[in-house]
Amino acid sequence: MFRAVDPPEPPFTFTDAALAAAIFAFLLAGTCAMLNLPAQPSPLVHDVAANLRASGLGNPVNAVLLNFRAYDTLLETGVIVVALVGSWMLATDASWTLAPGNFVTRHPVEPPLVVLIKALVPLVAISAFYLLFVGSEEPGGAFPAGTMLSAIGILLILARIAPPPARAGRSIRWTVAAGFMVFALSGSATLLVGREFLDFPPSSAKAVILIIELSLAPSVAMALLLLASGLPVEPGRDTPA
Amino acid sequence: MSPATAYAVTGLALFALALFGFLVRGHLVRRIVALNVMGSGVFLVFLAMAARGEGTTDPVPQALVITGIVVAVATTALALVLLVRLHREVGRLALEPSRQPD
Amino acid sequence: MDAQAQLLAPALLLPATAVFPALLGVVALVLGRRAVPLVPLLAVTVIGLAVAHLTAIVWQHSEVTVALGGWQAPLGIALRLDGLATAFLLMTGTVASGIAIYALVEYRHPAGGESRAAYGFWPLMMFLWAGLNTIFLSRDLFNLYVALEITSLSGIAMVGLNGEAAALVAQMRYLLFATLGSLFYLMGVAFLYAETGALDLAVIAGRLQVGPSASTAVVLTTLGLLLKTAIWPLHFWLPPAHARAPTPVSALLSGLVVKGSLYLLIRLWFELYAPVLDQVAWMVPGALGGVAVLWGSALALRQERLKLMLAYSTTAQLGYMLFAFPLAVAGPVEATQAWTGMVVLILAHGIAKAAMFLAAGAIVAVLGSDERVALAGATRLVPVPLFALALAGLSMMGLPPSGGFLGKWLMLRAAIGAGQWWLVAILVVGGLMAAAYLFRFLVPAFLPASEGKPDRPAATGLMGGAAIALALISILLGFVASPLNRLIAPAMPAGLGAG
Repeated sequence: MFRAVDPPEPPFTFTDAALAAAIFAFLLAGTCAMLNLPAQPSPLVHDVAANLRASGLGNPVNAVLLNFRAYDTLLETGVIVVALVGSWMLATDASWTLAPGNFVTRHPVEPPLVVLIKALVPLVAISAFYLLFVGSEEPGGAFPAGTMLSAIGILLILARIAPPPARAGRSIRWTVAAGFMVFALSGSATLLVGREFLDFPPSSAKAVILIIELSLAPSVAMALLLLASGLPVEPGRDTPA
Repeated sequence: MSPATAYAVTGLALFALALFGFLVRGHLVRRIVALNVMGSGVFLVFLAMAARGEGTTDPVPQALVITGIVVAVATTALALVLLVRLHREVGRLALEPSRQPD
Repeated sequence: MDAQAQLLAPALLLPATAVFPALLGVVALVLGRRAVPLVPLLAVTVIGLAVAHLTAIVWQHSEVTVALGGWQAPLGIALRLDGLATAFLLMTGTVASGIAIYALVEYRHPAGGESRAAYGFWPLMMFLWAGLNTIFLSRDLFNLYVALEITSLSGIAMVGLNGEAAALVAQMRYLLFATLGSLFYLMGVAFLYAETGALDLAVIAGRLQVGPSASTAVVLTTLGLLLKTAIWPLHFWLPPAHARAPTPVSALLSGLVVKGSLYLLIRLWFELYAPVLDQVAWMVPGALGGVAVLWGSALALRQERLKLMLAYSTTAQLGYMLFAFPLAVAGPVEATQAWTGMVVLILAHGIAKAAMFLAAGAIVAVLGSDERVALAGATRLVPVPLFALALAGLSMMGLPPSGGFLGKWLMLRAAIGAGQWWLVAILVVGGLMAAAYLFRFLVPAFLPASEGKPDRPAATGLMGGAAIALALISILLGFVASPLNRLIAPAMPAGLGAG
């Protein structure tokens, strides 16, 4: 699709040199500022440790992500959805309901690749599920698991074991939407019991967070898969690569 | 200079270098990559702040960086899809025709 | 029980204002054609009622805070409502409602099918609204970064909705520079966290000291936010993006999105940086704003296309809003006047500019072009949108009685009282230039063409109606000076205006 010719470097002009000098000056100033920073970490370290039991999780990073600062994670899920819808909108009117084309090639699939992928996929799937559940105590959680699941999806499409998902499908839309919906609705349910938005009671926090992660992982997986799959092949054009 | 400060300065240096690349180069793929490197620079600074002191590392910047990475991935994905569509429409990989290196 | 219900409401309303539009956006993503017109009407009604109730709360209590997740800041994220946030929420609700009505007409699904643009517009607009409301309410610097990103990305995603080549180029430019601005802001936040160990505005304000890291943070965050607000000399990305985007998107971008980063800039400087900045620093945004007014107005004068003229006008008008910065270090009376004037200017511009873009869209829908020469004598064909354009133009020029006049007048009084004559001069000259670049389009349009038999006016229906409604509101703003003052003036952070 892109001609693989390395373009010549544009000449280094006077403005470029002036810009480089300005940025270098800024770098020096910033480094000076950095050398004067406090050597002690933030007092938040103690706050997190003190409230860790109440958060329902043992892993402090995930406790911050899914409990103390859960609103950030909710918005971040929204960012993924927005980027996905944005990429859907970049297709033309004629092709936007067709399957995306990045992993579809004209060449026949080579059997060794299929064998390798068939061997890899179950291993990666086990790792993904492990990461999802272990996130409560160790590093892991919905986002790493979702990323691995989307990698599985890409491998399956490359091996022609599964077709690339066409975006118009109802199940695709629900999968993508589920993560944000479950998250927002769980946070709103806490309002019904007289607590704040996203205020999970310590006794049930772990369970609620697990439910949120269970719906977030496939959501993130599908969104990342679709984002990586790019645009549909235009009718009348050659398939890429 | 403590290790944390060294990493922080490295992050700042990455940010500055990539900023130069972003502003000076016209090729859109290079510009998108430059933004990614700038983002990595910012994340490195945050993580360096988590590693200060002798005790446990600060979990808050780590969570912030995880969120930041997801946001960066989403933005980059959109940028790349837009790049492909743009190339299909106008046939070049730079914003202005004059800056197209091809 | 009543007091408890009163206090319970913000715990629901504040997060609802921020999250409910996003939830509706996801519903629109799933339902597609069946989401229209339910989702937009539900959003406008529910958020409208919520914001009205919140205004009543702020009227009585002057500020309300909610700790999300039950965790107090700085461990958790806090949402806070004060007069400033309320004013911006009201502006966003009003403008979004008008744009939603227009978009319901513009984006229609074909019978039995689903249009791409109509499918994507509603989730993106809802997320944009949610992002903006979060920016206005959130007290956490990193949360504000994510909110900025979700708002920008939604806006970016909508720019190329019509698929034209010029729009796609503008979309890419907007994406690149919006991301650059966000990264600068985030690096500044990193310095602030490094220095103070917190991300909450109030906590940082208590801990921030004068020093190199504070200065670095100020420069970085300000550069990033100035870029996102398209203040001269970082304004170049805005005119193509706002002009080439589809009409409702232009209205969203020019009317609302640029105000989001401006709001954050105001919060940071007036609440966070004020103790660590000296007098000279406050002059810088004012100076940039002054150049923006003159430069943007001069460029607007040269435009032959209505939407491009409106986009350049945005870059000019945003400059006025920065005049409150140098006046913040004048006497207390002047600082408060400038603060109130700034907010009124922002409200008036948001509503009037959105009205003008919607009117332009209605005109293009009938005439097929927004070229100045094509608009000559257009009053026969599109009287309603042209009237909306003229009405909103009154506010844009700062003519009484209008919201734009009220804001400018407050700013003028403050500038005169503080002896900042350069601001007075630019306010006056800028007003004249605005009149010039608007009259260039309006006067030929209103003069009936000499030849040809008169055509029957085309019905622009709800599109023209939405434009007129917003234009009228921008005029009516000029009549509610006292309530606006009561809402906005107390929200100015204490400690400013020390002379």
